[in-house]
Amino acid sequence: MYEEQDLEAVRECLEGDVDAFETLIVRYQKQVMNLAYRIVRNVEDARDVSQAVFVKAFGRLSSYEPRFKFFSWLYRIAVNESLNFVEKRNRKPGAESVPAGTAEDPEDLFEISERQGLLDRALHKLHPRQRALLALSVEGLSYKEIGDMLGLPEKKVKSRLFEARHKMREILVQDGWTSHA
Amino acid sequence: MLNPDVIRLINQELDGANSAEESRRLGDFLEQNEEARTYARDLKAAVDLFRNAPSPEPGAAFKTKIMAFLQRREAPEAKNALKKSFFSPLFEPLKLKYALFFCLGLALGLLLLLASKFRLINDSGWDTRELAGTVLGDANYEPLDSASWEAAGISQKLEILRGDKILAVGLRGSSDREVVVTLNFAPDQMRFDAVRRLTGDQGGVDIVPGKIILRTYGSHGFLLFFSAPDNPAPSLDVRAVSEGATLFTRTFAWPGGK
Repeated sequence: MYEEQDLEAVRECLEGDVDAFETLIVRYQKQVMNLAYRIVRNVEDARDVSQAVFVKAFGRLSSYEPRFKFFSWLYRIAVNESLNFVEKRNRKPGAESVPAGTAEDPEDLFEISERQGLLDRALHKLHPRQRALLALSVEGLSYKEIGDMLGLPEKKVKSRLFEARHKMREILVQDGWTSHA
Repeated sequence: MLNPDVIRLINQELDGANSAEESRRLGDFLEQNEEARTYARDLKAAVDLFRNAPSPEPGAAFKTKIMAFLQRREAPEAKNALKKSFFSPLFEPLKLKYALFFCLGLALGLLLLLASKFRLINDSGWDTRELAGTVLGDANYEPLDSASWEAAGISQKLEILRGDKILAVGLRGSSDREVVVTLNFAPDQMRFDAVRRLTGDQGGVDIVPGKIILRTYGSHGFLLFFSAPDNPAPSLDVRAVSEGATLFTRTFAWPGGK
């Protein structure tokens, strides 16, 4: 939908108009931050990683090939940056890093936070690459698009994604989660 | 234990990647198999839990912070890259000793004038012809061709001269990221003799048959010499690439003999 506008903004940036990059930040900041958070599992770290993603993307704009969608290219940088960050990080993210859920009823809020706690613990037990696969799949990307981003053949994407889901479900069930709760 | 094919179909159904036939086959199987139904329901609920988990907000300062960083970083560098002369990096180590440098420069200038044999090379340009002559002790060079290219943060100039059975190539410039300049030549026309780094301490040179690869970064200056024993028609294929983008490509060719 935004492909033409993205290309226009990239062109303007390459012609020296740094401000044109602001449009791209506004358009994709939420998605990039969400993707980074789903991989690094810490709000502040996700924010830092996302900012680094945009700075890196800006620095590499001259290597962006317009035949690819800008957001796919940006997502690829975001995935790599997030995975690199997690690999370098030697501390485990704390519970305070989970963003607060929104519910007015305190009981609902409690339930949401319970479920989020379970999910968070399960995700920490997954490999960052498995989290990346899960994150990209819920973004509605095709197996091929995910494969292009991670440098994997489609078949591998499917087998690894299905394995990641299987493991996530298994950990959740072991921790007492029930799907009809 | 569920059949791997059923697990595949359940997953593909979640991703909307099943064909109509696969969806029907899965539906039939789920109707008859309690274990598969539970697995499919759990898997969908787990994925939904992941998908619907609260997502963090970038925050009001997110964009401002990035833009401020980009404005700070990009603008001054681009300006510097354009303003920087080729010879300024030579003087950079002496920045802290301006006074001494000034005196030495003055004395040297005086000597040059007195000897009447020297010409001042000011920092607005690099006289490749003179430098090549100094390096080889032979000032008999004829300019053949030159080219320059620029991109944000990158500025490079290439000069080609022909001496007596020698081809001299000067490359100078400045870049805020690596630029790989490849010189392809025909080994049967000329032979690579030497490369001299005149300024800069980053990057390097790879020498392979028929090809010289200059990895340039920061402020840099290289002088290369090729010998062409019979002064044949030399040709040189030059390509400059940075981060996958081609900045310059051209095949230089000249008439043979001298």
